[in-house]
Amino acid sequence: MKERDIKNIFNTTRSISLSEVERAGMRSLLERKIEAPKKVSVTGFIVSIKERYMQMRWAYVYTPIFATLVLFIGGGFSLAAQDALPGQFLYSIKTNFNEEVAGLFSSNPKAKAELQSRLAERRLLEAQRLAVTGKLTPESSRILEEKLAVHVSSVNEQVESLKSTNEVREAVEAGSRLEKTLRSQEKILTVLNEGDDVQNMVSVVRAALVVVSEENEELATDVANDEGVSEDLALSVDNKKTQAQNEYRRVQDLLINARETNATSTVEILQEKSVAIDSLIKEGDAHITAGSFNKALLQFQKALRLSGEITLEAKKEKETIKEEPVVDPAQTDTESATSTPEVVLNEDTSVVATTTGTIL
Amino acid sequence: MEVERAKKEFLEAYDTYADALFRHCFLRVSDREQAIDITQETFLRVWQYIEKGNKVGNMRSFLYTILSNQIIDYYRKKKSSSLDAIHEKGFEIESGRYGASQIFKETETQHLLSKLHTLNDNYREILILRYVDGLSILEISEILGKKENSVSVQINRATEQLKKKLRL
Repeated sequence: MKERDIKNIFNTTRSISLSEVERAGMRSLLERKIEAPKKVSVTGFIVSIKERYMQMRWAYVYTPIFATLVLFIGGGFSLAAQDALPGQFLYSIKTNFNEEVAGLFSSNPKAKAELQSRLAERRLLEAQRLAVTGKLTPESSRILEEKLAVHVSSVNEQVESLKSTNEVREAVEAGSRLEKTLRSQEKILTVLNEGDDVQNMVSVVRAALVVVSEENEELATDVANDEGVSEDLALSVDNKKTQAQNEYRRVQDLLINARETNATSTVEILQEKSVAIDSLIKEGDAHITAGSFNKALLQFQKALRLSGEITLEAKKEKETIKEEPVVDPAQTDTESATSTPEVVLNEDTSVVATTTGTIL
Repeated sequence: MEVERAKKEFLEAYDTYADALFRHCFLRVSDREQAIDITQETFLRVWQYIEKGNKVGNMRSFLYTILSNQIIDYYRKKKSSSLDAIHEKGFEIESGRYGASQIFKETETQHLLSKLHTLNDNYREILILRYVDGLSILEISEILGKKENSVSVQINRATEQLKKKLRL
């Protein structure tokens, strides 16, 4: 085999990367470490330790034994629970203990919001793991739905808290992070498209996305009136713009597929929304050029909300298509006609999965 | 002033190599959380080294060397847990951007990973360094402390083994 072939095979691993939250979290920790003052001298430290040991040697003997026992018993359960899924015995330890403990280390609203976003993502990854193994039941869906609602609500609370202390940039970033997470998870769950419980989960994520998107638009509206924070938002606006452009491309792809399947009403909806999204992005760009990042943020956020509306409307259209399967008139072979792929709307920007499993 | 420059260069190195190091680590240990921890620990160790006033010539090679040592430590600590159990657990590939094409690629990736993990760790490491991280033979030889010729031979052997596993 040629070296080029092997390289191509390994190229598929390019998709593996840190999430934005993970990358930022790690960077933040490193920044804190490199800014932290150096520790006291080693000699002084050892002398101090020796003195303290002499004073409290009995405590030093028994405390580690006790702590080891606690760690062995509690830590064993805690570690084993890390990979538990809804419906399994250790899952409550994972969510009610491990994650609660992790929450104790989040000392400020920004860190709390980051943690809750990450937990929301974790819930949806659990849903995916259950879905692909055919174990996503109504009960596990209900558990995940409840927990997801708690995480979403918690992020919103932290966003409010950041807003109240005038940490506008942090508030915008926290809201955006959750929205981006939900959007990407919604897409993957939609592609899985296996059974009613997965569909139900998709609906739950879409509902959450609508709520978060509206909250973010409300925040962006407030920010749009505050010129003082404009420059702080440059990076957030750039990220938001990228998201809006991705959504615009997704709508364009949906439009092409809708035309191919002669879904007339879908084409009309998509055309209308596509023009509106494009217009909002251009307005956002104009604000960036003028240096009004706060106003640009609102335009891009509106574009994202519109894209969310398409998701819901496309879903309705999909149901209509299901009732009246589209058959290519050129195809005379009955078998071919019945196997005409039904377009599942609301897919990724670049490709659309069909119910026959083909990746277009 | 010197310290400030070192901090700046270190954070730039983080921005440049964090994803690549994480990817390398994830492919070696098959556990996302562990890969994050090991990547973080690697950067912390590199900073501790720099903080003591040491100079780093080739930051990329140095990072991979430290990372490689961290992964070896991880396996030593984890000796008791069966590798089979890790493989059965599967690979959670995660990224910020999902879509149908992403899923398709992930299926391919999972197939590759499942085969990659049937190779011994030396072969796996050398293939990842070469084809995922895109390092030169010279850089790999620096990281692994082996002669260039030996590295080339190992890459060829590892490639042949993987080829058989993938039935190519």
